[in-house]
Amino acid sequence: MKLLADRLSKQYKNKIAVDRVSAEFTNGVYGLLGANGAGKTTFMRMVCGILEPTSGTVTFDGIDAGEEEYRDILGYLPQDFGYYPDFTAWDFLMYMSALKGFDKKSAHRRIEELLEFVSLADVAKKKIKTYSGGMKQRLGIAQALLNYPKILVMDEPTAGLDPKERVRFRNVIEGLGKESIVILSTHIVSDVEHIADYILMMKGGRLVFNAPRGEIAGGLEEFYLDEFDD
Amino acid sequence: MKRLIGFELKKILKKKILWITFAVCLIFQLFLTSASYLISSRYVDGKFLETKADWFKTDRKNSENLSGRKIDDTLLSEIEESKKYIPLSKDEAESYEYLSSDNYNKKVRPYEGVNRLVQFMLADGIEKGASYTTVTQKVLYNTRHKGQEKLWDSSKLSDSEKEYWQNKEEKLPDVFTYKYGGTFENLVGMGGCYYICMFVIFFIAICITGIFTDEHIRRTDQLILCTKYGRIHSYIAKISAGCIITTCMALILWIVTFICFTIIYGKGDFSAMVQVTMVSLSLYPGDITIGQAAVIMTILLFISSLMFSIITMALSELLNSSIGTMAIIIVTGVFIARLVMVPENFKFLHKIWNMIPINLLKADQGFFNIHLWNVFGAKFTLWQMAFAVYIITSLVFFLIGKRKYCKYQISGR
Repeated sequence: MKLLADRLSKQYKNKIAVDRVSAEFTNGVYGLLGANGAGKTTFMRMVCGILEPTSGTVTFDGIDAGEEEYRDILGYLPQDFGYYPDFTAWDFLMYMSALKGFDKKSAHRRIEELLEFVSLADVAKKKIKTYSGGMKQRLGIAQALLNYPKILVMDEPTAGLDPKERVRFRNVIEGLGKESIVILSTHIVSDVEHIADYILMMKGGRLVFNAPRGEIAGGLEEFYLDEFDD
Repeated sequence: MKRLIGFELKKILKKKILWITFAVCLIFQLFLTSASYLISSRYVDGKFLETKADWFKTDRKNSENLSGRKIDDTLLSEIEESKKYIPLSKDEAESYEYLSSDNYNKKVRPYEGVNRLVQFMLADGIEKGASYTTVTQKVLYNTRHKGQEKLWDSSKLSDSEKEYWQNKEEKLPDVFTYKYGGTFENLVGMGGCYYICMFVIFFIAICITGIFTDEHIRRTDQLILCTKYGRIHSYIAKISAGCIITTCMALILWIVTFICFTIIYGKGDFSAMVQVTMVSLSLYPGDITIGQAAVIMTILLFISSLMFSIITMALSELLNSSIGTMAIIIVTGVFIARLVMVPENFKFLHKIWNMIPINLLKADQGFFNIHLWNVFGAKFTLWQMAFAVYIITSLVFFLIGKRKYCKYQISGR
């Protein structure tokens, strides 16, 4: 099981958002760090196949990111995304499960499980417009996990979560990393410090660091600040 | 796929604007079909003569009484006889005293409908300076033929078009039979399929434009597009949902209109010739009954609604703007199409223009237009060609929209 980003670039007119990024991902949690505008979101969108690279490829065991087969094993939590305000959490997850190819019966089972997991079971029949930011974020996490993804891409997944939820979420991600490729981007170092098996750092569209967490001596925060010290 | 369509329908039906637009269109259509019947009255010289409801009922009864009678010398002489009771002075003929008299109501009024038809049949064919004191069967049908020839010349029909219509004309009976068109006549007329089409276009422009663009505005597109069925399946589900909603809207308006017309005008005779039920078409040479025309127009109404629906959805995805699409659809689909007339001199443009649904569903302008399309030697009327054109146009826009949606790029947020 190998996800391969090969010389991935994205250029918008005069601006290069991602510049020839190559990386190989196997099972584990990958923490993608970088300042705002470093190209993390653009890179993740290309990994999810919703943004076509200017050059380069993304493949999973030879399957291109643009193919249906690839999307079948993908879970994505975007940084900033919307809901259907008049849908309930249950409706929303049922809709997402239909898009992910679930039949009604298995969708019911999986959704009950996930709502329990993200602590939304009590409010599952309430309209999403009545939810707080943290509840919406947890719902987003639930939809990303629906199809037992082999590739889980999460852009700023802890935004809006309270400290307790943050810790719980980290534990879950840690567990998921044993069987899947989890790529999560953040600019909050502590989010990935304890759970990431690998640390990737982006700066000005380039991948400036890619190594196992263990290779970083001392605290990740200091290392990060050193790397980004201009 | 069924589940996806179900969710897309749910998204649309949850919108308040849909229900508001639906209610407004329904009220206006009801108003247009039955308001004058229900609320207005006829006043002459400042005096109340009758309610519009009574007026309609009397005219309907008179037409139904004559229904089935041949427009031959016998009926024409009865019409001539009835004319003797019409005062010579126009003022007198329009006075309250005359219109409320037995002479008018019992002798003249029963023949008013058929008399109007005879006048239309004669109007275009009468030679300059000629006057007929008595209209006979021979005069009537000969003059109608002359009128037709004049019309064909002024419409710049080619010889092959004239030959086509001549062949059609020969299939018509030598003597027409007067029949009452009722609901069928009204469905074909202005208040029927034409107004329904207009309201459906408004409905589509307001409620269907958001099916794709709302996903981009809400940023739900990125969730959808990276799922297994988020591309082609999702696109088909969205298009299907839009088409289902549009069809339901058209169907509800049509049913309401049909019920109103049936109550007000009665069912009418399916087999009545269009030439006798719609006086403005008395010179039309086609062998089509008013019932057939109503059925064909209804089918065209539904196909054109689907076409508009698909064009709107594809366009909104192409432009990534619901307001822009709404403006294009309403301005081109309704206003420009209605306000601009392409003269018959520009034959090709004239035919294309009159195949725009809002023009095609206007009986004398589009549906019964006598210009023909020549396809590999075969001749087709505008409505016959419209079936193919509407289906092909829908398919083209469906494919354009699919390409755009499936290749949609999430960037710059």
